[in-house]
Formats: sequence, C-alpha cells, structure tokens
Amino acid sequence: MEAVHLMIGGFQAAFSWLNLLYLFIGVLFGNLVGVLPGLGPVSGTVLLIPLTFKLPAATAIIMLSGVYYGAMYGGSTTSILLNIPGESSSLMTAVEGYQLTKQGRGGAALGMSAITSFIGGTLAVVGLMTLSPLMADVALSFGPPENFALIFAAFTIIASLGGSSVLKGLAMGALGVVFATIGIEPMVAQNRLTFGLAPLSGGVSFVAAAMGLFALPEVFEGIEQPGQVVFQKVALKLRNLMPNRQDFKDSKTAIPMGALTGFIGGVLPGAGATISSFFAYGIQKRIAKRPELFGKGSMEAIAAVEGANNAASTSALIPMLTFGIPGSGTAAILMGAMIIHGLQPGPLLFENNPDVVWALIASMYLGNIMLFILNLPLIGIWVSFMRLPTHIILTGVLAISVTGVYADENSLGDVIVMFGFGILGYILKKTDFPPAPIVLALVLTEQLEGALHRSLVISGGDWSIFFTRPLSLGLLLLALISIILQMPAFERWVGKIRRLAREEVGG
Amino acid sequence: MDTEPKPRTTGTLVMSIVLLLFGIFWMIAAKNVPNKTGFGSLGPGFLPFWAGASLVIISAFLMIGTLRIKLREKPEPAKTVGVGHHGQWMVLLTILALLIYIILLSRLHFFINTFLLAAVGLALSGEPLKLRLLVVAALISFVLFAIFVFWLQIPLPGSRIFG
Repeated sequence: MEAVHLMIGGFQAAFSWLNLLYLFIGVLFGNLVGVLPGLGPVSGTVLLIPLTFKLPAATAIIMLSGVYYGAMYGGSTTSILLNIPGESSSLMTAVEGYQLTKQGRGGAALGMSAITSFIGGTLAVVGLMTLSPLMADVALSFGPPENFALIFAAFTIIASLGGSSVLKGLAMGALGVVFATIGIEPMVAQNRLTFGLAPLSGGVSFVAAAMGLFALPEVFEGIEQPGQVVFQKVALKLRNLMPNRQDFKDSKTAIPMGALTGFIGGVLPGAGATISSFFAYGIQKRIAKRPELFGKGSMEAIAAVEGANNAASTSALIPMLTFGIPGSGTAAILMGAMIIHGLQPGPLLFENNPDVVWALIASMYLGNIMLFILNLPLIGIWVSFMRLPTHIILTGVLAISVTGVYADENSLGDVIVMFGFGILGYILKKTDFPPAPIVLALVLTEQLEGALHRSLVISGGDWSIFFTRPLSLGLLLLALISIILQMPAFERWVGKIRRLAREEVGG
Repeated sequence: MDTEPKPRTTGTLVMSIVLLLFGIFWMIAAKNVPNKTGFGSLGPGFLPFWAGASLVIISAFLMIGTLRIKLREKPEPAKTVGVGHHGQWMVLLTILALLIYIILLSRLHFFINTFLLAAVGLALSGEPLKLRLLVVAALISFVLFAIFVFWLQIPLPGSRIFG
C-alpha cells in the first residue's frame, strides 16, 4: 500500500511543469544523440550534466535518464534508414533494418522498432518499480565486508566485460582507482597525492574527467576522419510506418522475449544494452519460425533487438539505485550526476530520498510515452539533421564540453583536468582501451575505500573477515571467476581440452 | 587502405609500458603517505599504493601478452591504416587551439574566446573559409552564452559586461 502512495507521489512530482519540460528536453536530446553517429548515450548524458547544475536533484536526474533511454529509441532510426548504428546496441537493427529498407519496408521497420522499444521500455519500468524496493531491502542487510566484496565484484565484472581484452579493462579500472585516490582521503580527511597543486585537493572532478574521456575523443576522431553521411531517400509518410498484421504475428514471441532478455541483461553488471541486444538476436534466431530471414531483413529480429536494448537501458538503473553499483558506463555517469546533486545511490536512497526515486520511476513511464509519440513523427526531422555537416556538430560538442566543465565550479583547474583526460581518452580510443572503467572507478572508489576501512575496523585489522562471511566470500569468488573466464590463457586451455576430447572420440 | 581492422599491438605495447611506469611512479609517491593510522585501521596511503601496484601487475601481464603476439606476427611492410598524417596534424592543431583557449579563458571575454575556438575548430575540420564559418562560430558562441548566462544564470568569464 505504501508503494502505491509513493508511486502516486512520484507521478504528482513527475507531472510538475518543470519536470515535464526537462523530461521532454532529455528524451528529445537523447533521441537526437541516438540518431547522430559518433555521439553515444554516454557522451550525450555527459554533455547535458552542466545544464543541470542549477536544477533540483529530481529534475536533473529525470532529464539525464531521459537522455539515456531516449538514445536507445533514436539509435534505430539511422540503423534502419542508413545502415549506420547510432550506437552499438543498434548494430543488429542495422543488419536487419537496412535490408528491409532496401526491400521498401524501411517505414514498417521503423514502426516496429518504435512499438517494441515502447513495450520493452515500459515493461522494464514495471520491473524496476517492482524489484527495486525489494532489492534495496536486501542491500540494507549488507554489512561493510559484503559492500566491499560487492563493489569489488562489480568492478572486476564490468572491467572484464567492457572491452576487447580483459587485461585492458582491468588496467583501466586500476588507473581509475589511481585517479580517484587524488585529493582529500575521506576517512581521516588528509590531503594526498596532489603534488602541491591546489585544484587537485578536491579530487579529480567527475564532470571534467567524464567530459574529457567521452566527449573530446569523439571530436578529435571526427576531425581526424571527416566523413559525410550518404543520405538515401525513404518514404517517411506516417501510413508507411505501420507494420502489417503478418509482421506482428511473426514478432509475437520476439517482443516479450526481447524485453525479458534486455531486462535481465540490464540488471547484470557489465552486460548492458549492447550485449543484451546480441543475446536477444541470437535467442530469437534459434526460436524463429523463419530463421532463414535473419540477415536478409527480419522484422522479428528488429522486434527482439529493440525490445531488448530499451529494456536493458531501464533495468541497468536497478543495481545503481538499489546497491549503488552502476551496471554500465552511462549508469556510472548518471550515478556521478546523482552524487553531484547530493544524492547517494544505494539502499538508503529509497529511505532518504523516496521523492526523487519515485519521481524518476514515474517519469520513465511518461518518457516512454513521450518517445513513442515523438519518435515516428520526428524521423523526418532527424534524418534532415543527418544532412548537417558532422564537423559543425563536433565543433558544437567541443565548445559545450569546455563551457560546461568551466560552469561546474567556475574553475580553470577543472578545464585543464578535462583537457588532460581528453588527450588520454583519445589515446585510449586509438589503442582500443575502454574508458568506461575509469569513470566507474571515479564513482565507486570512495565507497570501496570506506567499506574496506569499516570492515577492518570491525575485525580489528583481521583480513579474514572478507573470507569468513559467506556472502562476501561468494562475491569475491564471483569476481575471481569473472576474471579467469575472460583470460586468454583460460580460453586456450578450454580449446586444448576440446581438441583432446575430439581426438579421443575420433581415435 | 586496410579493410580489416588489425590488432593494435604496437599501441597496446606502448600503452602497457607507459601504464607500468606510471604505476611504479604512483607506488613510490604513495609510499610517502602513511598507510597506517593510530587506531589500527588503514592509512590514506594504503589504497593508492595498492592501486599503483595493481596497475603495475596488470600492465606487466598485458605487456608480456602483447609481446608474445607481436613475436608471432610476421613483419609486414608499413601500410597506411585508415588515416593519413593530415588527419593527425588536424587533431594536434585542435589540441593546440584548445590549449590556447584555456590559457585565454580567464583573460578574454567568453564570447570572443569561444567564437575564436569554434572558428578554428570549424576551419580545422574542413569548413571552407567563407562567411558561413564565421556565422556558425558566432552562433555556437551565442547559443552557449545564452544557455549558461541568461538561462542557467551561471557567470562565465567576462559575462558581467552584459550586466
């Protein structure tokens, strides 16, 4: 009953003019970010953080999360019409959607994508609303050792799944912890490792680091490899955007399956929208009545993939809101934004700031409705945006990045930090190192260090506290297994065993 | 131009060495911060030291793994992969423009400084040196000024001139 009251309160807050206006701005901008190749949900969310500095916390988080799931809706547009995935989770949509466009069914594919995105997103909000308070209750029973083990496990899982190589992900995680230890130490309030530089005493600014790591490398790469989108004409009249009865019949299993896969994938740390969309595609191909259409333009594949990536973008907020563990790079940015606004994501968020949490959840229902209504009529406008020369957009991003970082604290030091992280981000991009674990570390290290200190105070300095409590031990083992499973040596070992087994059977 | 992306072994190798050296530097720096407090708990130097040590260990593994791959690779004649030197020069000039922008940030009015950065950015990224370049640069600068100063009421360098 209490949950119903809280939800009603959430809707009342979400329906305020201010929240509706910023939700609209967020989903609209997110949709645009999803459409524009090069700018992903992470850089899109980072770019809007400076606009939230003077806003109430709930309004700020409503807008920023709107960018996140708005980008998922927008990502399908260019994938289907131009074979350019606006972001990585739309890759399989591009594979199937562009084939349908070539067959003259691009409009119906866009329609199917919008409908399944809406269903996936909305079902995930229902799941978020139902599961989050329960998970927050579970998280409340955690002591410092369990919290330490949980953060450590999340860290290693995300770092090991985040990029092309587990070692690169882990190295970036460690580098992030190194950066996060600059400035005042939280337990004894001692200044450390600032090397006499006054701007560093407050630590590395999260906004400056995120903007430098995500927005500036996009600009530099765009300048290095200027490209122009080749626009193809597609009939975009509203009547062409409705899938037919057969399309819906073909997709009747794909829609719930995609939403469910996406929901589960979003909750798991590290999986996120991209991996969920690949899983949904693979599962649907196995259960499809006409798997031969996959790769040649399958409507049910689009239904599965779009349902999955939208559900995942919403459910990725569950571990962040309940455990204080962001499940993806964008969730880490959102968590950083929440901390900037004085909110501490985690189990106590539901007790200390229920107004913000429930307003956010309610706003996600409204945001999905807004996107569903806006998405199809806006397609024509978004496609004309694609005609804008990329370098004009990138120059705008460059100027917004510097201004936004300066506006955060009116600090020149932060702009210099952003500049440094921008160069680092560009080098990481060129050498294929994932930047997300660095941001994740900047957000989580303070909690990790706090939990470590408190655990050792409880045990009187005895480290066995982490291995004698079952949950803590289980989580640490999970962290270890996640690293081992991703190691090239383990893959080689599995390959060797398989070869031996084949030889045994053959011989 | 290569169509198949190749593993970036040289870049990975260089990065792993840089990270390893940085990790060692960090461990040495963290040694100067106490790693124990008076009441039995860990000191502020503990985590930085072990973060640096982790970086060293992981980078060493990465370096060895990359070296093994590199030794297995057959030496090939140098190829142009994707981008020529022109693109890299443009990036370098953009970084330089950004550095000058930062130096001038507290000395020049925000509008003028941002206009100059946008104009240089546009020119470097291929916008023809015509009137449109100046108009777009002025528009970017004006929109940002309007958003931050008039709408969000966040003071920017020199914005007091406009009252």
